[in-house]
Parts: sequence; structure tokens; C-alpha cells
Amino acid sequence: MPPADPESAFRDLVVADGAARAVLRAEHAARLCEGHFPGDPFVPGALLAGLMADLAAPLVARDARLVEVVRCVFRARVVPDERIVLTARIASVAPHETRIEAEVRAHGRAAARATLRFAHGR
Amino acid sequence: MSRPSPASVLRHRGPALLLEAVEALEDGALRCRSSHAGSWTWPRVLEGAAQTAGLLAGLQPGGVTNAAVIAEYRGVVIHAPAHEGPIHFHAHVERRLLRFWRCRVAARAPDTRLLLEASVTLAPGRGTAP
Repeated sequence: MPPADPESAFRDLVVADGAARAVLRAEHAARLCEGHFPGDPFVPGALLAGLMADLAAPLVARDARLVEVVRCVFRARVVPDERIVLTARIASVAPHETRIEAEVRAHGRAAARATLRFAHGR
Repeated sequence: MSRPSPASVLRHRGPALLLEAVEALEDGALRCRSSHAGSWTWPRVLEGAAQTAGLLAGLQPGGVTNAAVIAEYRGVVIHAPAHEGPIHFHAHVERRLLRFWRCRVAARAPDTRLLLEASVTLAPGRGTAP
């Protein structure tokens, strides 16, 4: 899976005041579930972590790169036919790193939360 | 210990199944080879690590069934954001707490270059025996 192209993966993308929010396109969610699992599809957690990082990218410096998913916790399955909303916000900024808190909400409840660490400027 | 095929243990199918073969299995540790040698992004590498952890935990006495789900990723260090070619996944059991299993997994290129490391916690999924 290539990094999510914001145009194809997300809709209703809003980036403002150190935060980002978007809705995952249903067709993109369905693609991510191919083979995972037949008859019981849900989005792989690793790919949710990747989507959170993609959403966070506009919040960090242009030269920043994701170096660590500090923690990513899953509370519920994310199935492709429900409304999937992702949010990300800057949690802290240090001279050489930015931490982002991100969340995936599905069916109106938190399904996954992550802390992401981006390094920059060295 | 015998070396089962990943497809016979995991319920991932088609493009979602990222492991081709078990290369080594011994005392709480497992080494697998990826099923494709094309382009990888780090989330896909992490998914391969998760499948390796699921396979390892499933092969332990009292281990998880193939309905297990990922409860948490922790300490996912991304050494390479992308990779071209096959990958070898090495996993060992870090701890077991009740019905949860935590494994540390390293993903390496064939030249042993480290691509990604992660701790993966598996929880019993729906429909598992109590």
C-alpha cells in the first residue's frame, strides 16, 4: 500500500490550528480490507496507524519524518461500511521532534488512538 | 517443532497474507519469509510483523486462535519508511498476561538491514473459547 494520497484516501480534509481532521473514503477503506478477512472485513490496525501518520503529515515540518509509533491502541474493529473519521493534533514540539496524538473514530466512538513521533531538523 | 504454512494458521487471504513460509520455529521464537518481494511501505511492514506475532502466539501452548486481534502496537521504530524486495520477520514472545500475548518483532532486508521493530500485543478475538 503506498502512502495514502490525501485526495484519494480522505474527504472533507481540514487542517487548521495545529490539528487535522478527515473522513476516510469508503472505497479506500474497502480496498484496505481485501483479504482481511473474507466474510468478516475490517481495516488492519497497522494500516490505520499508517492513515493516522498520513493525516498528521501536514502538521509537521516539511523535512520531518516519522520515526516511531510510540503507542497505538485499538478499542474496536473498524469495518469499511461505517463512517470513519480521523483526527490528529500536535501534542508537543521540541527542537528536533514533534509528537502527534491521533485518533480514529468509527460509529461515533474511538476505535484507535496513537502517539506518533516525527523527527526533523537533523 | 514442525513448520506450518502461514496460510494454514492465519485467516488472511489474497493480498492481505504477507507471509509465505516459516523458516525457523523454536522455543518462543519464529522466523518467517514474506510472500512478496515488491514494494513495501512501513504500515505494510508493520502488518507483516503483526502476522508474524499472531503466528508465533498461535503456535504456543495455550496460544491464541486465528480470531485473535491486535490490541496494541508499542515502540514501533521505523528504520526505513519503504523497502523493495523480500523481508524476513523475526519474532519472540516478550510476555503473556492472561489471554494477551506480547511479541517483539524485527523486520529485516535479506542483507540483514533493519527495516522496522515493534512490540505487538494480541488479544483474543470474537468467538474464541473462554
